[in-house]
Amino acid sequence: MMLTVAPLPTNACAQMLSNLILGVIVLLSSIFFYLQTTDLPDRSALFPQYILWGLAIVGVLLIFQALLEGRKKAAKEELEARREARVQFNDILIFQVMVPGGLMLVAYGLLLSVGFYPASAFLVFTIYSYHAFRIDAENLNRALWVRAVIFAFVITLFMYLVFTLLLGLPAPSGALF
Amino acid sequence: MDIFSILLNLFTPSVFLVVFAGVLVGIVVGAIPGLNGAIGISLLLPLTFTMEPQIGLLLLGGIYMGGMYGGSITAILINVPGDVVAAPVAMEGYPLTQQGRAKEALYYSIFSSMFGGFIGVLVLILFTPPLARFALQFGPAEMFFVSLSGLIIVGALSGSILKAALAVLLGLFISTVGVDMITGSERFTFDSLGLRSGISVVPVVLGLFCFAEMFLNIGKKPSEQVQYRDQKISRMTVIKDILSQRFLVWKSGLIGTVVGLLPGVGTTLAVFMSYGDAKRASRRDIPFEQGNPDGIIAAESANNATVGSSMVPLLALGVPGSPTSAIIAGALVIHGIVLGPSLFVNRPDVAFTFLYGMLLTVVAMTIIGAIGIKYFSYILKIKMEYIVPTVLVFALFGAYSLRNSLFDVFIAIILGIAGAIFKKMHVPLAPIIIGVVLGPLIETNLARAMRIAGARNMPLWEYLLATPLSKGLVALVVIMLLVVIRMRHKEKIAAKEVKNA
Repeated sequence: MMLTVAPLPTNACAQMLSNLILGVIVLLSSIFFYLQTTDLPDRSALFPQYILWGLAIVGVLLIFQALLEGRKKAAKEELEARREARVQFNDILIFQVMVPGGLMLVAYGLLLSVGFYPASAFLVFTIYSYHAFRIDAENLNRALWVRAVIFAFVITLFMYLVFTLLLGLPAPSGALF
Repeated sequence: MDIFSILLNLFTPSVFLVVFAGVLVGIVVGAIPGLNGAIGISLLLPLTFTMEPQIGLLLLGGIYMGGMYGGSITAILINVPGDVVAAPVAMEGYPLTQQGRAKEALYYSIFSSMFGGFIGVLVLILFTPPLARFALQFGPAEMFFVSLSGLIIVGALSGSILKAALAVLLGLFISTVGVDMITGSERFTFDSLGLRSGISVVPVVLGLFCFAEMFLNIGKKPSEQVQYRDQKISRMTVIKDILSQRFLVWKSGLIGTVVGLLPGVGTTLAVFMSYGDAKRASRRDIPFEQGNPDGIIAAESANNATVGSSMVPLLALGVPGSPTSAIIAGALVIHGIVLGPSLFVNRPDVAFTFLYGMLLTVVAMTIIGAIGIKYFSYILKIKMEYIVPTVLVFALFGAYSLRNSLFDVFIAIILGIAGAIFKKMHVPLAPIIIGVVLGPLIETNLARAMRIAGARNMPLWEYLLATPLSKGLVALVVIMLLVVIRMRHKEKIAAKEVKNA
């Protein structure tokens, strides 16, 4: 965890927007899950219902807070700042969360089909390359691919030696391994 | 269990090896920006499955202790505090590095960590068994209030209190997924076989701490290279100087210990309080923020003192005092060990070996820290492009190996994605873990209390407050909450001063 910098107006805008989205999602989810508890026996439903009430209240407060902040800021802040904040947030969402998350899910699919060690090699290779790409797209060259392949092989071999051979821990097996 | 048997358990080559390895791993992960002790513990969890519980526990304790110290290395050498906790050390340590006195700053850091670590572990040894004996008298009402005390984390965290509340409620909600142990009915399983057995703490930790953290580290450029030109200084000179400030060491160590004892409060508060106090009381001519060793002594003593004391509520009451101790709690569950007062009755071997073994972790940290200083700059050369994929695949294996369940891997990945989004939305992740761990404890004791109250034909609240002990515990929880809010206010002021400087 790194130190956070003092919030800038753009951050405030982004935060207001994210609070609003978060509040709406929390409120809707808590209503959805609350409805799931209605068929449960009273004793089983009680504790989750308390929690879901709490979540719904937090959701409403988040929405309320975001709307209040929005009204305050709307007069002062530039529309440009809002747009910039949205672009920044979307950039993080897509490139720092969705792409690596998607790669992890692909690796999970491989885990189910071809086994843990080939899936690990795939994950190491792709994440290593993606990291280099995120720093500078020009990094993606033949030398990097070779380094990525070697690194993926070494890490996978190390894990196989330690977990499977040395400790005898079971790893998910698939068609290949 | 007598002291001789404990020593016999402790002084074996395997214990020494495990403790030193744990501390070394802790220092390394603590020193790498983007990693921390909690991630180190999560990654090495699978290794502990094949060990004796007490040895596995000491490995994790070693990582915890080493990780606390490791964070100060980057803070001193390159002015990058790996965690907010290390910010005061960076304020004083980095100016010393710029003056060519990095070694001296690192010596101050390690030896202050040693003194603080010892104070915390002594409190752990002295307070845990009596507290556990006392807690044996607790009924469902008292245990309900004790587990509620862990939720004080909501008041303790800096940032939005609404988001901290959201996080802790989310953790509690996650803990309700699966088959209800009391009635046997399924909750929020949507007919999924994987969800029936519930969501255990380890995939949650791996998802929120490892995956989320690593996703956000992708694309980070390498750290600044260390300029390591150094003036000679002996270890004894630094130790003598620290001992001449023994009042400061004791005071900071005790602040760390007391704050660490409060469940869920965390280290940041202790460090900023001690640093702020040292700043007010220092008698040295050197101004603060320009390399005053008192700042390092105070912050590091408090920092490491929290390690031992944060384990007291975990071992004695089953309530984790920090996210890291929540992970350790998860590791013990894997070994079939129930935390709380009964631990000292049912598994005294595990409990006492761990308590006294934590002293060894302080010794190991001191030896590694004092000897390894010249090698620390190498840790900073490890590139993020190697760290991120390695941590991800190790975490993937860790998520699977807990219950040999692919569903756990899926849960960890989904929570990793959610965790990264939460981080960007400034929702703290630690309370989610605390909520997951405390959820079953709160629910079980609430259900028991309701059953007893029903059988006695009395309202629930009347039963909950029936004994002087439970009334006292309610008062204690309220007082703790008020103290924490007050401390948080003080921390904010101290942090503001640091930021302004």
